[in-house]
Amino acid sequence: MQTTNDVIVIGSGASGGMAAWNLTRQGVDVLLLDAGTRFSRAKFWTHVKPWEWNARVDKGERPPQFYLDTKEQPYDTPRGQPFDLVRVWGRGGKTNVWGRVALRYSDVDFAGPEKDGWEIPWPIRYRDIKPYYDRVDQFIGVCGGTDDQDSLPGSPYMLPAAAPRCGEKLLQKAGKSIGVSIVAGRRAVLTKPLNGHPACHYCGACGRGCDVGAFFNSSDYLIEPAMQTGKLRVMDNAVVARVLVNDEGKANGVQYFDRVTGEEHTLKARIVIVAASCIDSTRILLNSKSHAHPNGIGNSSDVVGRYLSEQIRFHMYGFLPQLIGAPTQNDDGIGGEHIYMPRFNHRGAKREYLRGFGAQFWGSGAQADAGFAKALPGFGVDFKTAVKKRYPALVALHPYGEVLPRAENRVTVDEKHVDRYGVPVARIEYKIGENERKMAAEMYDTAEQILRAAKAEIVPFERGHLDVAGSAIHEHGTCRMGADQKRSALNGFCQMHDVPNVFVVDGAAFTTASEKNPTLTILALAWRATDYLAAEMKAGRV
Amino acid sequence: MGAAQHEHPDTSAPVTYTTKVFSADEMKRVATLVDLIIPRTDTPGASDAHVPEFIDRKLSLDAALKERFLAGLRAFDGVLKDGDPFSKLLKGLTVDGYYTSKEGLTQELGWHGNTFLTEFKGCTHADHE
Repeated sequence: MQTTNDVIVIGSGASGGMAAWNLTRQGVDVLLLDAGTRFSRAKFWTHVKPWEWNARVDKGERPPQFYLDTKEQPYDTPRGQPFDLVRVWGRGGKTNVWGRVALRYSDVDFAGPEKDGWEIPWPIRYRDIKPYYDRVDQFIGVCGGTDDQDSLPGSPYMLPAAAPRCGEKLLQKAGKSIGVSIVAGRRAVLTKPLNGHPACHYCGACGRGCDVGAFFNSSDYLIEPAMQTGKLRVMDNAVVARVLVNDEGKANGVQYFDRVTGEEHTLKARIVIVAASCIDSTRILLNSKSHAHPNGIGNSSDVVGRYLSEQIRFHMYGFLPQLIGAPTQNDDGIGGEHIYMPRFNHRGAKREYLRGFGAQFWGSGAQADAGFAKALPGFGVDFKTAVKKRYPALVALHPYGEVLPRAENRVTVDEKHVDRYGVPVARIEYKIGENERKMAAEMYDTAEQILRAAKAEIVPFERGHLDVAGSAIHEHGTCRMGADQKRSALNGFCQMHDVPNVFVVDGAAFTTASEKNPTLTILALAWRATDYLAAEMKAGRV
Repeated sequence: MGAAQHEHPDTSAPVTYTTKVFSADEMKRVATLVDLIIPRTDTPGASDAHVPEFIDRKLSLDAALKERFLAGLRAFDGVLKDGDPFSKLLKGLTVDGYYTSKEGLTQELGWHGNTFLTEFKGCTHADHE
């Protein structure tokens, strides 16, 4: 007789980690299924210098393999319509290497669809999620300033902001001169020790994993403490394929494949929380077909898989005259930018497009390479001198814009293309439209105006060019929440309308993508959803 | 957490590199060309910083790049020009190799990052306010 688990959580990233942590601390027994294993911090290459990398590889050493190889787990896209899907299978998921930009959504975001009438409204408002943002800020540690805008609500719980670098200060000044507010970056990096985690040591190599855990990652901050309660069990290398249901269509377990042996297993559960990251969660839901759910579990509305919303993004670079030829400083800081440009286009004249954009600035100042040099003309001593002079003067702008949710931007599963376990892979069809192209024009204008106001020497760019879809690694919307059960799959607590004992707590649950980085909101929504779930369990309603 | 825990041994000690793609002649030719892009001045040049080895290694890992590079090298008239595809390819690889080498990054550019600091002061120049 197989035991029945109270709660199975699928996935160990921000959302799965939060679900497991918040439920176990309230006394609920949780089994967490992780598609990989724990990444050992002691083996991170955080402090391997660029020129040491090849020598280590020659000696047979390997850096941690965070990123899932598409050879192991393929996905499909239509010809000529690429989508770059980045997945990390293993404890903590993408939070091991995330960009750490931690922005609160505002009612400009939550009430946006009602205001402009595009697609369904969010079922929640800022006031619903604010207490959870407050808790998340205090729990994971977010550094930032005292600013507070309608598009980027402030927080009383910020750790000290990271001091801006020279180029960033000059960009803030330039922004101010043209009425564009550029505020202190809000980043989940510990500028002071917090909750037993050490402070950042400013080595700037966060993208290779932090060797001391000085920025939030789900493994160290959520899963390890949850295991200490004795209530959490984690199963490694368990690649979930389907949520299983009983005759009435209620979830009663999951089917998974052992990533090492390839063997198929099933587990029983009273409640299933899907937190495998937007695309993989969607794939699981769509593959969970049954008599009760012929279209995939919880998909009587036919919205599951649809409304995939990523973000548009591009990059613009310049060299600031005050810094050309200046002495090289150590600009590592907390890795990535110390400033942020919040959305402003909802103010002033009505735009010819819907929604908005913000901007990040990572890669400003002295970097551990000089890729910009490829764009400088010439060869020889003059070229070498030109590179050296501009090296300390580099600033980088990276605007991010919202992509409207559209039914035809969708994830499907194709019975004809299966993975190594015989499970259909995801097919991603995604295109941007006229709205995004119009927005991109203002994004280009804004970036250029900031650089011009800074009197920068602008690196030549191709106006209108956008990164390949998926590059922002901000997938949302394919199992969206809403009040209308015919047009959404989840309620405001991430609970399936059709199947009340299934919750989907990752980016798939978002009604819109906004221009912001989603992780802080994912954490807040998952915390709120599992508070609700714990109360429902206590009341005997699920 | 002390600084001592962050002192990692320098593993960049030159290991003898065995060429994987280039012939001895091609290595020499590439060395001459990369030094035309980034010559030795009061700091090392591209071949001092082992850029030909960097390129050889890179080509050994990418068949399409290897084919493109070798075809370009064979047809190249020896004069670097902005706008010429092979010049652009070679310059890109030289930039990648040189400015991630110890010579290029630390001696030429003065990079001294990826270390352990107890605080980050950021910009301290009043005139940047």
